[in-house]
Amino acid sequence: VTEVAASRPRPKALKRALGILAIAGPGLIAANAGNDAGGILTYASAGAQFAYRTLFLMVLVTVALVVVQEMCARLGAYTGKGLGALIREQFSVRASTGAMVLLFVANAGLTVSEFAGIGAATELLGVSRYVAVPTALGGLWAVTVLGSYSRAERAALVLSLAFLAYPVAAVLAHPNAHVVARDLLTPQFPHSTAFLLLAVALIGTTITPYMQFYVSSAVVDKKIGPKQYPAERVDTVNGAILSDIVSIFIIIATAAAIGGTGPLSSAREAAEALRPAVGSAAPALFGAGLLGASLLAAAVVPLSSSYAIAEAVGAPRSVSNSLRQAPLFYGLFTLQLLIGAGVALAPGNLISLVVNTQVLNGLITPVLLVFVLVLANRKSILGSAANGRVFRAVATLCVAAVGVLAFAVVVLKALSIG
Amino acid sequence: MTAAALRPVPRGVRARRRSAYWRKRASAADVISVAGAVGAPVLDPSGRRVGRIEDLVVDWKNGGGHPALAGVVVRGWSGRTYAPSEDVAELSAAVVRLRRRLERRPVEAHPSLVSLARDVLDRQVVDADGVDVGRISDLVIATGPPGIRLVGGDASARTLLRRLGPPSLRRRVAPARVHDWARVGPFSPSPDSVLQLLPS
Repeated sequence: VTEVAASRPRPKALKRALGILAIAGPGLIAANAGNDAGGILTYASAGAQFAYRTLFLMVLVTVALVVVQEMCARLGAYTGKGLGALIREQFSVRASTGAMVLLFVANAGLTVSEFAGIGAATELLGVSRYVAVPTALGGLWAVTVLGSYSRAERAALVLSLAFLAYPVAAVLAHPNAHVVARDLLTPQFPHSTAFLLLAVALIGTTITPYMQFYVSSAVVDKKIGPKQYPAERVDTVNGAILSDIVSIFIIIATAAAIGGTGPLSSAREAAEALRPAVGSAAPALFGAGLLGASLLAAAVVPLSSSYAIAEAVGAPRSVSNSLRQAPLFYGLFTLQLLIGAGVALAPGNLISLVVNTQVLNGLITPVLLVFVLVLANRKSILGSAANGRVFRAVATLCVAAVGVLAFAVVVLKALSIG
Repeated sequence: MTAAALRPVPRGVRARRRSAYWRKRASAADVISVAGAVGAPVLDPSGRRVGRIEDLVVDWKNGGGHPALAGVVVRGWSGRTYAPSEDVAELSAAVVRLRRRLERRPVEAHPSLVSLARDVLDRQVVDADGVDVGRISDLVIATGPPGIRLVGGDASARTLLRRLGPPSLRRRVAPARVHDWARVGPFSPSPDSVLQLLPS
């Protein structure tokens, strides 16, 4: 009977679903790691400061995220190389060094915000960050360098599922459905420097360079080629959309609970948005979710720059290598963890540090996206899988929009308006 | 012996081992850094500047382990053109002098012709076991008898850093860090291929 069952042909839909599940990972993890400590606090800050008025921007950002992530996954699948390797091979050595330095700076800043998130989360759970941050540093290093990284990644993904409480909280907070629908579908952009800075921070935290570098390297590491790419594209597109749906619900929940009260000054205030859904358990649930998301991203972010720089230099790079086999890869990983934990333990306002890191990412992102766009347009690299005319136009528009916003922030800062 | 096997060997021993080839080589010929030569001026027989070096093309099938120079890709005012090696009177890292006037001709396309700067420089190098060694940071050309040939490749991080510096620094060749090109296996310029070091 078992033999008969095993030999029975599977329906096409089931086959397709199983194929996608087998491949699922790079796109989903990259996008889910995007909802990291910095992301959650920036989305919550957007809801608290501007209520629902950033929702339309988030819809546009989601389209841009799907376009960008898909290009990166395609580059990895069709060339068998990560973005770091492609940039070194296709651009001048100075340009690729500049790109790697920018990525390292952006990722080091993000790692700081991930450790800041770990500190903020554990303080909500009643544990001092001076205990939690060094413990997390040691644990992450040991798990990634000495243990099974994929098992830890799965555990952190499960922990971050706590953020699914946000859609529930958003519904229970009884947001004004008419206003939500209006702000989702029509632009509501206040003419203020604060909004512009927050818009760049939202873009910076949603379309983060490490997500692009990670997804292309992870696709290569999983040995996903052109044959398996259709399933990987589903994973990448779904991952991007799902993660941004969660982001939108974070904004709605925060806007409904504490909208219009101004920027957030603590993680405890951000946790208040969960109160309609879970009552007094809000800080604990928010803390658990924030801890999971921060731990996941605190491993993924430094790994993405370690992958990219080791690819660019041509050094061995894999989490399955030992410390002796891949000294540069693990050395960079360790250095970023030390910077992240060290700065996060310094006294000061962690929320403003986290949001400023997102602004820095927003400024660096367009530069790195230009590399991605040029690579994905080149027929000499991707052949028939290179961007078509329509996709090229949409992708160029996305990158240009991100670039214009970043440029506006630089001008405002230079004029000391911001 | 693979490049992986080379790594644990003390630095001084490794340098001596590699430079044995170079002691012979340096006495017989001048060596040029390809990374340093790219961008150097190209002069016609009258000494007039007609463009700059965009690439150096070698014939992979000609010259055995050390492919012979097939020509130079020149970027001039009117675009790219190709000067075959017969037209090259002098090649140094700082200048190329041509034997006759530069004529407009397309860059030759042949399966055995490989553009060094475009197709080989910055390419991944693996050892005989497929383990990553590094990327080609520089290529070395010898100009003495029996002709202009690709003789070595340098995959070191120090040479990569040197390339970020001014032209005078980029043109330097560090013989102790150069692998003999005869140790490199068959190669195709397709984007997914890598350079493999054969056991010596």
